[in-house]
Amino acid sequence: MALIVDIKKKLGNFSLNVSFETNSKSTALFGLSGSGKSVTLKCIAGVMNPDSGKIIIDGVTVFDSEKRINLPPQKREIGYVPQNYALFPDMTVAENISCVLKNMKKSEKTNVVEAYLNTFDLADVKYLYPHQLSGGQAQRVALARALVLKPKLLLLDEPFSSLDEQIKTQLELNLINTINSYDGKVLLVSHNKHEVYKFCDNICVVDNGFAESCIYTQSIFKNPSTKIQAVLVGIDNVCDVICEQKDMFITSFGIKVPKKSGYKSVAFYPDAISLMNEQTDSSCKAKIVSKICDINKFFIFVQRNNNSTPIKVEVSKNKYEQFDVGNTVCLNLEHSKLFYLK
Amino acid sequence: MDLYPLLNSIRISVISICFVFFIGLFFAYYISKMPTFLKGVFDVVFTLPLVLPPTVVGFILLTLLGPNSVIGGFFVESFNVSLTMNWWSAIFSTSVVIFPLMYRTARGAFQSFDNTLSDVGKTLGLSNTYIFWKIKVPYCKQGLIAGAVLAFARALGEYGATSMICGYIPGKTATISTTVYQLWRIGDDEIVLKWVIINIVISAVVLLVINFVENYYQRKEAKYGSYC
Repeated sequence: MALIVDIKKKLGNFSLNVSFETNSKSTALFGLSGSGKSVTLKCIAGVMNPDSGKIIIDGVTVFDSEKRINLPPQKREIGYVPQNYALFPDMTVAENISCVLKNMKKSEKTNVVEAYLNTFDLADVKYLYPHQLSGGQAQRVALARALVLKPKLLLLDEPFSSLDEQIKTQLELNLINTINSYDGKVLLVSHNKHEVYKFCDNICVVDNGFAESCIYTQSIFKNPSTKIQAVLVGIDNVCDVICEQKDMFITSFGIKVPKKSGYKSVAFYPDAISLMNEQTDSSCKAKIVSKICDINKFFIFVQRNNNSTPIKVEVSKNKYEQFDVGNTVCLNLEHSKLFYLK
Repeated sequence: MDLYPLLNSIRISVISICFVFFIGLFFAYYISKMPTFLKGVFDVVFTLPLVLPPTVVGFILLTLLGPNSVIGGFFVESFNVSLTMNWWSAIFSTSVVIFPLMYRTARGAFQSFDNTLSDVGKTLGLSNTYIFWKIKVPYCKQGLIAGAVLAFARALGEYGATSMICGYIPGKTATISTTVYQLWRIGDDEIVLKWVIINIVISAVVLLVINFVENYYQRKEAKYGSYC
């Protein structure tokens, strides 16, 4: 089955222009907050209408502005789990699941609900109301409810954003199991690189309302090729470069990098750069603007002049203590750890 | 003491609130979906009875339903029924006067509704009717109950429009408020005082109910946190 999305929508000053096609088990819409991921998801679910374009799920056209097709959400066979899970607050856990089942005998209904309650480990809480559930339980109810009708496509909007870090691991394992045992496809919206990496084999990067085509998860993490990809996979330093005759320099620092034509920026992790005491060579000089220590990691931010964006550098504990804010240091960049971006 | 006015007031209020509750919900639901301009127009029209003097409402109703009007005349000619001067005529006046209270509280309550709930409901194949009655109305019940109780209380106290449309006929159209006025006019202060006390007690009970409803839901929210 394939999902083909090609839609345009204007929302005030924001315009969405998303076009992608995917055939993989689970795909991520990966982008920063406000990039238009959730709106895209709502358009696919049918609870929001695009201005123009088309959406095809598993060969069925659910939206086509030219052919004037717009299937109501009720007929799209989609499971949609929004960020807050949207459990019906005045129904118990069991009712939340059973209300979805129509045209079914009562005994049959009970059997199906019981089966889902057991699969999702919710048998103990079936008479509780949503406000009495923990975040993890609420998530499982939302998943069970979305899957009980066996939809062709499951849409997950930031499934872990409202959960505590500590309970995430178990829930992530549960979700992976759920996804694997479910026949349909999954489309997940996230801004979190860990979630995307763990759950999805394909990624569609959404940036400011515009979607690039889908790429393999592994390749974007191993070798990001655009600025937004580098930012999303969590590479801290993304800098523009300029070409001058034979050489290429990082614009804001004047650091020389090996020349490769056709690239506009470079990205590198904080460990790709090291600090040295000031040397006579002035081309690599920079000033320390701030220091921060994370768990077992030490970072120093350096700047060449006041206008440029600081670079984040990972240092050893010794060096962290040795250097102070205001010191001038020399930067040494390991060229093998550079990512060239278009 | 003849308790007919109490019975009459209560039956008029109960019937009116039953009408107005559903009509108020209906209009609140559809008007909240309208484009801004239309919404503004309807809002003004439906809120007018709240700020107009009840006598103005009474006059308009008489013009519409009185025996000499088109509608009232039709009923007199066809069914030999007058739409005014019957105990149930007061249902027209109280319904119009209390409609804005129900409509506005219902609209306010619906605005606080979390629309992702209905979005999810739709993707789960639930019909709009089901979503409205089983998800939206229960979600907004606090506001709806408070609005209905307030409207009920207002219906019990309605005087101006009611006295114009069904006058004061003891044992037939008399309500608490019209009885108080008529008995005071003839100087029967002792019974007036009894009716005043009855009226105050009923109103106080109604307000207590509103407070109880609000506190109940606030406590519930404080205990469990509002979900979603």
